[in-house]
Amino acid sequence: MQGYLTAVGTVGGIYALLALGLNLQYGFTGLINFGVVAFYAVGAYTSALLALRGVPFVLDFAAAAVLAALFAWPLGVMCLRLRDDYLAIVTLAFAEILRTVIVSEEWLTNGTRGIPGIPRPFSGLGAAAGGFAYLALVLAAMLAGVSLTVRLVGSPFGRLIQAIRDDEDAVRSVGKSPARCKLVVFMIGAGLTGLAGALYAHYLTYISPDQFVPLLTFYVWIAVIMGGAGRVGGAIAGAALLTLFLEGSRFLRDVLPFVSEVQMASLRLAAIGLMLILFTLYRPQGLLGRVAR
Amino acid sequence: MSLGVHGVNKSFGGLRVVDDVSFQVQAAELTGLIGPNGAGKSTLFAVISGFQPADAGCVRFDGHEIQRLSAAARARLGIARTFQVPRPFAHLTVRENLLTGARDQPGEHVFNLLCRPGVVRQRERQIVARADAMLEFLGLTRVAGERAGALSGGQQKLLELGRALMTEPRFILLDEPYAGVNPVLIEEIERRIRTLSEQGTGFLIVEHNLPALARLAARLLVMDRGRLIASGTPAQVLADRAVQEAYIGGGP
Amino acid sequence: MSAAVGLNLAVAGLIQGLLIALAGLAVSLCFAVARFPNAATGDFMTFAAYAGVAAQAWTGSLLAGAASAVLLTAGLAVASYVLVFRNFRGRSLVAPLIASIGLAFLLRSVLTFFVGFDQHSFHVPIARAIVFAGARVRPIDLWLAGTSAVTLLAVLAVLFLTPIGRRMRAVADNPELARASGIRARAVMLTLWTLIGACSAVGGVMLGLQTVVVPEMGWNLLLPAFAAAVLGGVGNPTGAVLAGIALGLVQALSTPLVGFTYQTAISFILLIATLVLRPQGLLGRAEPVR
Repeated sequence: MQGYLTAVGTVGGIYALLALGLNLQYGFTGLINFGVVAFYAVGAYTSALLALRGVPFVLDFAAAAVLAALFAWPLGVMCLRLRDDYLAIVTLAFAEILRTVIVSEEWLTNGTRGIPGIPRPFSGLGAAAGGFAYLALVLAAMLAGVSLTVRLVGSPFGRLIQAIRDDEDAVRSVGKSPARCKLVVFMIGAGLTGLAGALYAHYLTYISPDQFVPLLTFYVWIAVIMGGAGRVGGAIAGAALLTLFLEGSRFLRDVLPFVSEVQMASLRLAAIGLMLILFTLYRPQGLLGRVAR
Repeated sequence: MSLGVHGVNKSFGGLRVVDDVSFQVQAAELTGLIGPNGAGKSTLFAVISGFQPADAGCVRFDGHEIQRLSAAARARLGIARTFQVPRPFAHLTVRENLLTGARDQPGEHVFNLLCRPGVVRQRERQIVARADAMLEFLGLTRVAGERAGALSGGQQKLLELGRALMTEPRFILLDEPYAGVNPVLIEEIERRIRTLSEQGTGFLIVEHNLPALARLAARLLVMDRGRLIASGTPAQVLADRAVQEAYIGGGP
Repeated sequence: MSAAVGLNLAVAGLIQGLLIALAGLAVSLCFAVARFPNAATGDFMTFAAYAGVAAQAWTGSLLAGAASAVLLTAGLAVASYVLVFRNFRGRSLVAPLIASIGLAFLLRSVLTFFVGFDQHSFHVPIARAIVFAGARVRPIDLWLAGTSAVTLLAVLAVLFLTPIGRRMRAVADNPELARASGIRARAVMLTLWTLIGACSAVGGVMLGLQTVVVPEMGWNLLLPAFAAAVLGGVGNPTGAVLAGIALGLVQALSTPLVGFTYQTAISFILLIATLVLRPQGLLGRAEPVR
């Protein structure tokens, strides 16, 4: 039981980190990133490949965050001066293409067979203590993400990005260019996402392309929307709700013997789809929010 | 110091909205821009402030051609504008709206937040002081902590004026500053505009409330169907035959 | 590359291009009039293909199957407007965009829940390929190309030659003006979504006829469809059609150079290039910034 809770906590913490990244981009700045999973994959593969070549963990994690942010840079430069929906289309496309690259560039990524045997920090401590230590690492990363968000959002920079979310033209009218700020936020968010990817890869010790499907992006979206976009606590609450939902659906499968595993996957997808529709329609401010956006 | 347009043209889908308009406005001479709905006044504002590229012609400010500059760059040069329908940052507080207008806050760069927090804090103190003075000046102190989206239309007009002023402009384009504002507040705004004008800030004001504008302006420009049809002192312009026809809708 | 190989690729590319054009047209129509990129377009196509297979199995006729697919998908599109997208009027494009992703997932999951992930296919009479100047063309491909082309032309005809099409374009050009001049939005929007559904349906059935029917088939065509809509100029349906055909040709003809795997990457690269060099699209006008 304790092992199970540790596992759920670890996965939940990783989702929280993802949600923090997207919340910074979408919740506070209004950027529509439909390619969360791509930056997640960049982080996971970067860290995994470096670790397997003997690079110390600290550097693996740092490289994962930095490289994910660097991937965001050209996409942001190209899209962020254009209409909001172009970023959505381009990031969605980027995620698809990246998956193709991961599948076909076997020399680097081992293709569909994936990368096994990724070392996990603290594995020397034994299963229970090691798992617990890893959970602590994930939670520390999450808290760092929270503190980063709080400090950014409360700063003059944070004021400006929220102004951009509310009205870009008005921001231009006071002599500030939205594109620069949006690019910075996009990269910081991608960096957090990349870090989450690294944590995921070392936790699972095995990664393969079919773990990085578009659906994952929208898990994070639904977490941010449920928790309430544009509130720091919202990302955490949303990630908790998402984890609860995903774990709950697994239990549900055990009590509904007539539903096959494959059908359960369909049901989960249906629930995510329905939630995306219903929340945007009826509760765009999230489950807990008060002010309508 | 002056702001001018020269041979500006602007069309939307074959419809010429601004048709070969040229004029020059001196900062010392508060100028009004009037004309019936659809005359092209707001579009001209958008061209001057850089929100719409002109199809032809140039915009000059303080002796420099600025039509190639972005809207943000023009604002940094000192041309501020407000919008016909107020566009506050609805989810920020009233004070934050003003703070966002302030120029030279190094804390708007993440690098400075990390590496020069002292400088950021010091500048923030100055800006907050200025914003609080502005709140006082506009009579918005009481609502400083409220979300801008919750203000009345008239208060939003004031807030937008304040946000524009926070950019320390040399020239301000006001798009219908009195629309939806109650008469008491109008006098208030009028007094403030006059004070600023006397301190040397240039004004070009689009306004449908002609009596109020005539009290304020030293000079009026009149547009109709995209063209500039008259200019002169308010008395001259309002007596002009063509202007009256444009307003009454006479003539083909 | 020999002439015959080139010709074969060109034929395949043209058919692929017509399919992308259908999807691109559906995206572009929605982009132009309803003002958001509809991510459910691909899954409308998937739905149509499944509906077509089912109806063919039931009636025994391919034509009846295809016709029912078009009707059902048009109904689905209209229903999605009435139940979902209609309620976003006056909000930013983010909301309908996210909802369209939700709708895409919902449609696909309902299909996979009841039908599973196995592949299905239409029953097509087997016929000998026609060899023409070294290029082998299956008769079904000729049918595919012909039907797609006719559908594309028919939708463009509705758009440019009928009164409702003119009103639709007026709404696309300037929604506020159109509202002010008393254009009845309801009729326009219902027609719009019928067209979107019909376009996607024909595309989906054609795609299913060309290969097999699987749950991901439509989603996989979404990226090229978006690329076509952007390339053709946002809100320019004719441009989207031409860009879609061009994309199909370029993808096919570049296969010897980049291999099969990176075919879709071509549309991504062209999409990026368009955004960098000519954001208004190859055929678009510069869109006024508010």
